[in-house]
Amino acid sequence: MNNQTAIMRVEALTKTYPTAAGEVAVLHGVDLELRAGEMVAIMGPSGCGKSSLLHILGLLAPPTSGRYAIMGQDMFGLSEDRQAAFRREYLGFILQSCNLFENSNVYENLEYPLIYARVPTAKRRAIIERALERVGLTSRIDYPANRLSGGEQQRVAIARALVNNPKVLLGDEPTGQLDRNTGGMVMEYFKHIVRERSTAMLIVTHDREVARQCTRGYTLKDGHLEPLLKH
Amino acid sequence: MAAPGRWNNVLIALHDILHVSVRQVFRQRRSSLGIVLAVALGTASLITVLTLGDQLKHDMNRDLDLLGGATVIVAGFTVTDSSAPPQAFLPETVNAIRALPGVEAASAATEHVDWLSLFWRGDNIATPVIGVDEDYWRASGLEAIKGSLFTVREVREGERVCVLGEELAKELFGDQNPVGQYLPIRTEIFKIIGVVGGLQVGDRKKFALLPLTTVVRRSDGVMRADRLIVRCRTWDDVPVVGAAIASILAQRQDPRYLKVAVATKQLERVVSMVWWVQLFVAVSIAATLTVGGFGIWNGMMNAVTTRTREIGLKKAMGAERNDILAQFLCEALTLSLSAALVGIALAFILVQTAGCYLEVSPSLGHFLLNACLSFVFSAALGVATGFYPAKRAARMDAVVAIRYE
Repeated sequence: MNNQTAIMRVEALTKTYPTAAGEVAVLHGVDLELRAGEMVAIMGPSGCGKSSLLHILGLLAPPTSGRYAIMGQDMFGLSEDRQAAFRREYLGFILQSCNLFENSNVYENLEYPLIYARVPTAKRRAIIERALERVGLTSRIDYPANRLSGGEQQRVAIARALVNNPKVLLGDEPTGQLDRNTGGMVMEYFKHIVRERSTAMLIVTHDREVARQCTRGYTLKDGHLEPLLKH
Repeated sequence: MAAPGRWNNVLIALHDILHVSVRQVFRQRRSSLGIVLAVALGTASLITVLTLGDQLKHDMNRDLDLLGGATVIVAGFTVTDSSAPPQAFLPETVNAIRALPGVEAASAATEHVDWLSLFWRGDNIATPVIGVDEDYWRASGLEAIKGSLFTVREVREGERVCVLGEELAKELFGDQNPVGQYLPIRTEIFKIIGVVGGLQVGDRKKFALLPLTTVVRRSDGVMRADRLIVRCRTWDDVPVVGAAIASILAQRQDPRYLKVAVATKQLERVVSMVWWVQLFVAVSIAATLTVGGFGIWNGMMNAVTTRTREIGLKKAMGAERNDILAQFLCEALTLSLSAALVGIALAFILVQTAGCYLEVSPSLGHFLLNACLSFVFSAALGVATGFYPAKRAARMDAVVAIRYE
């Protein structure tokens, strides 16, 4: 795939929430394009709509209006189950914390996306080992998830998000709960993955240092995306 | 661009659902133990009652019958017309009644009690004598306390043997064993083969009981088989058998003077008492299963709440509503079916123990059939109680679930 090909394209996206005081708009016509091999950061104060945008792009919540396409396919006309299928095939999520299933070991955590993608049992172990190898945790494959350190847990979450080879990674404060060293290491993983596999990544963050390491950065202000000046 | 995924797959693979659900339930076994035990106890009780129900009913009939004769039908003839010929039950009539479904024993006997002279150690003792056939003992609930009772051979051959009531035997022989001794009745000698007793013996403890044919042949028509005693297997059979006696007799002999006596009031009281006992047992089992079912429902509702974030993450990974529904439903099923398996094992022990205590051998086939029925019932219980929590999990908003702390 050409690195300049748009994997994800959003046009005139709006989102309003009904409140007692009337409709409150958090997104006012957001336009965004995400290309293969790009890391894009979205910054902004709490409550500005960053997570809402991420959830809409992750097909977890519907927008109020606008257009959204993944690989040229319009997303908003799809049924809930077809949207789930697109999430399985094209999207990987990394959240801030509590990303793993505590009662499961590392293998089982990585197995779930494969189960939902109907990958045959016989093929799963090799796929999971490859995914763990990328984050340097092959030796922890049968380790209980709740005994891993915070950094290791986040790396397992990254491996899980990558296990189905998604085209887009969506990170919601993926380094928010990590110390500076571990956070820096995780960001290096992200850059390596994006570069190596031509994946696009969108990171919602408060951390200017995280945004600085991305290809592009935006601030979500008054429902619009404004380019970060540093870039 | 082709749509991704395999749209034909409605659910994730069954073995994955089973594997994931069993693993989840096993890992949370401590919190599930109470639920499993409640359903297991209910299931064990259900299987035990179903397996031993018929046998218990039969035994209860037998035991209650000792007190009131509720399952015994007595038939005779009431001849009001003096010109009518003497009436007696023909052997073919008695045999046809014996062959009726629900009849445990049918016996022909003499209605008339003949007081015969018994010459014993210089005294002339007037002794009540009746003639009975080989089924009389079972039909009347009598047991040999010494020796044996008539069999079909002695009755068919009209042998000169007799069975004494226990009081008569004591009067004549004191503490000596009368079995094998001889008794002069009128001008003939009869060999004593046994002594009858038991709760049902009543005034027959003073009687001498002779084979029906022996009595009839020697009585010049005075003594005849004009009394029919029918013991039914259960009280449910009494009305049906009571009604059938008249029609069977009518096909073979003159039915005009027949009178059939059924202990209706006793029967009603016994049936009513047992109905209440059965109701109590059924309510107890239903209560146990309801508690178990509510436990599953409550446990699954708690699981849905405590695993809200897990549900959100799974949806983010691409799980469809049906995948989530199937997993939680399968967890409820795993709980209820695990309980059913424990219940079946418990029931097996209970049935064997109760079988030893009641001196019966419950059929393995009947047990297995009831075990299968209970397994299906438990599955239905799991689905019924797990469906709503599973549906709630499946319909959960992914964003709300992911944000849940």
